[in-house]
Amino acid sequence: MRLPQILAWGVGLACASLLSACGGGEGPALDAVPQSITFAAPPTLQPGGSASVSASASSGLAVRYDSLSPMVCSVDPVSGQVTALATGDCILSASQDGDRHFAPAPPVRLTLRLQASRQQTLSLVALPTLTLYGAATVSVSASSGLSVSYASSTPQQCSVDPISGLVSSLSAGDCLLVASQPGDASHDAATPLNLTLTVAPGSAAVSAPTTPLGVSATLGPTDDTVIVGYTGLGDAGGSPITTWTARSIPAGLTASSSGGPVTVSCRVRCTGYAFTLTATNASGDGPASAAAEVLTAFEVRARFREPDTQPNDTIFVGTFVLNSTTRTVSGLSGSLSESMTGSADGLTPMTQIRLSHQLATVDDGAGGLLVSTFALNTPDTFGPNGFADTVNGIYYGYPAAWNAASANSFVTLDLDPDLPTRALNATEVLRLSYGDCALGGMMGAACMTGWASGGTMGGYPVEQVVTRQPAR
Amino acid sequence: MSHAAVHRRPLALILSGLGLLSLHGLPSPARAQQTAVLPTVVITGSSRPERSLPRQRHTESDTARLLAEQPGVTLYEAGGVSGLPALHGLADDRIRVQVDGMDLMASCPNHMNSPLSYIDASQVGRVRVYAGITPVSEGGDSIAGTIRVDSAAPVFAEEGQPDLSDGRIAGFARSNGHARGLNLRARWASATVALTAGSALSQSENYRAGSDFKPAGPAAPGRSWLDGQEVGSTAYKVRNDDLGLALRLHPDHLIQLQLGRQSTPYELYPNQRMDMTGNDSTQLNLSYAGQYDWGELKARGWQHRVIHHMDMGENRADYGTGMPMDTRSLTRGSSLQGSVELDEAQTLRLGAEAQTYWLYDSWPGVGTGMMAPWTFWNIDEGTRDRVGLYGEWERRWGSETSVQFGLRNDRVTANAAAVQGYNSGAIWADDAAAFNALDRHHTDSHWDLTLLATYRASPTLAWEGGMARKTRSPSLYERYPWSTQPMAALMNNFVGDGNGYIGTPDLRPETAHTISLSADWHDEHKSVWNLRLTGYRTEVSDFIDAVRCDSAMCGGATNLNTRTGFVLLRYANQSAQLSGLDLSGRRVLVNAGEWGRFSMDGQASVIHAVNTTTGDHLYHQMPPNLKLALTQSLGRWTHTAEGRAVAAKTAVSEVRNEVPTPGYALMAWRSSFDATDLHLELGIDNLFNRAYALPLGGAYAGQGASMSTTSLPWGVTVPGRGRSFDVALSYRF
Repeated sequence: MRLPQILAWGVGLACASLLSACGGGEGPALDAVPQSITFAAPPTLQPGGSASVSASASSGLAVRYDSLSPMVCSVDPVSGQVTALATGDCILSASQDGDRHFAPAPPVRLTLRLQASRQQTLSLVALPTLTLYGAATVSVSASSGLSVSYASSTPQQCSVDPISGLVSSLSAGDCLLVASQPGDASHDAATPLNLTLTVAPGSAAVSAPTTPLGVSATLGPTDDTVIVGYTGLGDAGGSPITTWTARSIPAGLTASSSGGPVTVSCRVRCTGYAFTLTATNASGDGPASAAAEVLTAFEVRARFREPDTQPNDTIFVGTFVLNSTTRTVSGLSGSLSESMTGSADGLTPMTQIRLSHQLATVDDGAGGLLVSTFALNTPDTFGPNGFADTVNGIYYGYPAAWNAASANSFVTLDLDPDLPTRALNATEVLRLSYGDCALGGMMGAACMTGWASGGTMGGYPVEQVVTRQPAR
Repeated sequence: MSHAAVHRRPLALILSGLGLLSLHGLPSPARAQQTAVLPTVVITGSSRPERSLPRQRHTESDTARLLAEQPGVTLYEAGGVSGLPALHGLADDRIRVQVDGMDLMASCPNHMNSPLSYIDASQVGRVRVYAGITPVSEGGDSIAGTIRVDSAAPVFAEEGQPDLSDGRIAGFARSNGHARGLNLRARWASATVALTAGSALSQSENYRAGSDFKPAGPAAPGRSWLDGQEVGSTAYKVRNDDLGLALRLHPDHLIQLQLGRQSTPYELYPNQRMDMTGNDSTQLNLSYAGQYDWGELKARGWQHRVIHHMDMGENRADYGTGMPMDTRSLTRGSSLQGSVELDEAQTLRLGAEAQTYWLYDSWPGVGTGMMAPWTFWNIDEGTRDRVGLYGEWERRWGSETSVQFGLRNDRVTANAAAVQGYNSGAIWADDAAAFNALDRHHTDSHWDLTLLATYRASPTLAWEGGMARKTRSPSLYERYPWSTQPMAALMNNFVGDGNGYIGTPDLRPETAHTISLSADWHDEHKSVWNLRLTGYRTEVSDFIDAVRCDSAMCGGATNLNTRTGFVLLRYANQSAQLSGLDLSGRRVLVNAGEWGRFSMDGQASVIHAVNTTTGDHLYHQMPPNLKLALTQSLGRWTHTAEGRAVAAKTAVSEVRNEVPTPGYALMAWRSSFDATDLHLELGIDNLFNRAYALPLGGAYAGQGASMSTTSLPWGVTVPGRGRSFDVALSYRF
């Protein structure tokens, strides 16, 4: 064989080797057979109950079930057993990932609407003893959870605060009260509940009243006032109470009123003070109550704009209690939405992550408090830097596999203990941040974050609104 | 060399490239002659003057840059080896790019693996550029023109003479970015068999701009430090290998088998949000060319397979798991062309072409969460097949006048299978469901027409004019990317503007009508001076431009009204108009004496390109520019001082929030030394280390967390290379 022929064969073999080496499959989808999923007729599901759903794939392969609204319902991924957790739309997804022969099926959704009953009933929680000229608080609850209002049918014998249920005795005899709940868009009005408190005649001797019971202090309608209230007065001393006096500790603020809670004006701010309450009758002053710290419940809503998950933003809605006496915040808890989980048309709601562990509070350097609350009872959100590393945002524990049980989330708010409902300025808003390492917040090993310079998907804080929690 | 072949014009052109390597078997005078000039040529337009490829090609890693010296050609800067040429303002898929006769396509959603990246600059034997008025035999499914890049043609030993064998080793280095490359070529040939083998390897670190263009700091959290001058994500490493077998079974019949393989470990991209982390391709190319009594017959069959990977390079945040994107494509093509010499003055060319293209662009799920557990199918089982037929008649009246007329029909069919997102979450599933419900199959029929005439009015003046109708069907990446989720849309971008793109399945083909006129003044022997002026105007109906995405997931009104940020766009048929002037010339200043030969070369171009539907400017248009080069040839040395001035780019695309760039002027110096077997090049690029923004460089996205529309600073353009000391050496053996 001549050299050219040898070379030609050699080249040919090399070519064949080269081509075969670079062959390879054309991807899993090329020859896969399409399949589809069909849900069977939906079951009836009541709040608090459970039912089974059933879906089948045309391939005959097993279907996987997921709940797209885990706050409303959960579902067993294999059996399809659904458990109702709350009212709302229970959105279920059925999927089938395919195999060597079948392509993944387009996911199919089923929505079960869980509605609470419209009926509600009222139940007596506490019926206290009421003494002549004394005070006590009645408590009735509605099965709907809506607030109950009170009224007196015997205004000569007693008065009642319509919201708190604080009953004040005006004379001896039966004090007749009516508790009612008028209903709302989802509930019918409850059957009113009639209550009777019998007030016995007092002794002829008059003495100073005893110590007011259940004294509390909260911020007033504005942040520069405090309302000092009470839940009862065991013994009025046989004489009507003429004056209620609130005094601050440390001293400096005093206010009085002839009845009901006392409103104290704090001049500039109310922080740093506790308050006592004293009842006075014709015989004189009774003993002062123990000092009550100023505790106020607030609602808070913080929004992080998410440029890349529009129209959904990350929103935290929660509550906290401000102790104006000690300038501390406690009980910050609420729900953080996962903006990647909702649909653009709003039909699929965003998944909500419950944050209920307030574990960190630091000074913001400008008189405010940076308060953080977490999904888990630990601040470890990002590894290895606790929850500070919103820049990297890699989940805690990485590179170990992500685990739902250890997936943490948090939000950090900037709260002003002195003027809690004040609107934050632009600089203060940018101190807010969040991190979400729960399932709906994960991208690769990165958690969804939002902070001043833009989080994982560019999210950044845009507002925080604090309002007084309505009285219940 | 076949005597008969020399007298056949097409083969003569091909064989003009044979001198790339000297042959030990050649007589020494011929060998000396071949070392004196670069044998490779560029033909711009159907009958335009031949130009030598730039001498600095031995120091160049990006083949597309070799074209940037040609009038009417500009370059979209991209990765280190993947520039995208533009012809008279139209680029990328609007250009038919052929490498050794194969229509190669960028399968990447960012067009990182551009067709010209599949041949190393040092392997290029000849480049032909047809801008605007393209003969139908060279065009089809393109409206801008055609670029044909060919390796050196095979050479055979003379009958009865000893076999030939030779080789070359060459290397280059650039100080900026510590770029370096090495290429080896070897040949062996008898009278009937010729074998060639070559391998080229080049790599570079990030290059540096002339001055700081951004703050210094870590490239991304946890990543290495980048100072203010270092242009992130410009490093690359690429290797191209080729193997060729040519058989001359008869003096008039040539069969060639070419094999090519590229392996790119990485090529980072400063104007994209991802980097190429692997590109492996193989090409198989079998061709035949034969001379018959009636004319010439050419046939070709070829295949190109690509396995392409993208992910976060070393200058980007990697989100812990990276963000892999995989692409596979397979292109198969065949062509048949017969050129019939009707008589001495008339030639008729008839041809047929067929091509199939298959694409699977998928993004594997990562981690646990919203990018898992499924694989995201960006384009699943995309196909784009084309069949073309053409006829072209050419008539010559002496050497003064010629007319060429061509008619061509192409039929293009495209389709894509159903898609899925990373999971069943609404952000993916809603778009996927809407896309899957569409009829995605489309068939387009193109009718192209070309009329080209040349007329030599006098010994010192020649005219060339023509008109053409050209048609192009939308690419798969213009039709089928379906997700309006911003992160996914940002991954579909082949223009480097930092924006996100969403496909429009029912796009219509775009049709261009071009008229062009050139005048060429020169001295009688074309040896002392020449001046060429070309004017052109192109009207494009159904021009595929972009409009702002108005869906809720795109951001709604915010996306529509953003003027200073990255945005999300949908492809849309509109209309466009492009007109411009190219001026080029050359003058020998001194042709003797102890200082040797001095000559001056110059070229200038200006273009005006607008979207006539919206009044907006078209994206990425080169501002007015001027280049002058003074060359001294003295013995074996050639020295060139080159100056380039580019005006500020103020005509920008508003819909894309394109960023204007300031004007600049650059100087460069180059010298080369040619010995018999040795070629040395020295140069200093950007002599005064000027800082400048590349007008066609796009948005700088080369570092940081790049997966969001807002996570990268908007308004920073990719800067040009700062000063670089270049050296290249090649040795023939």
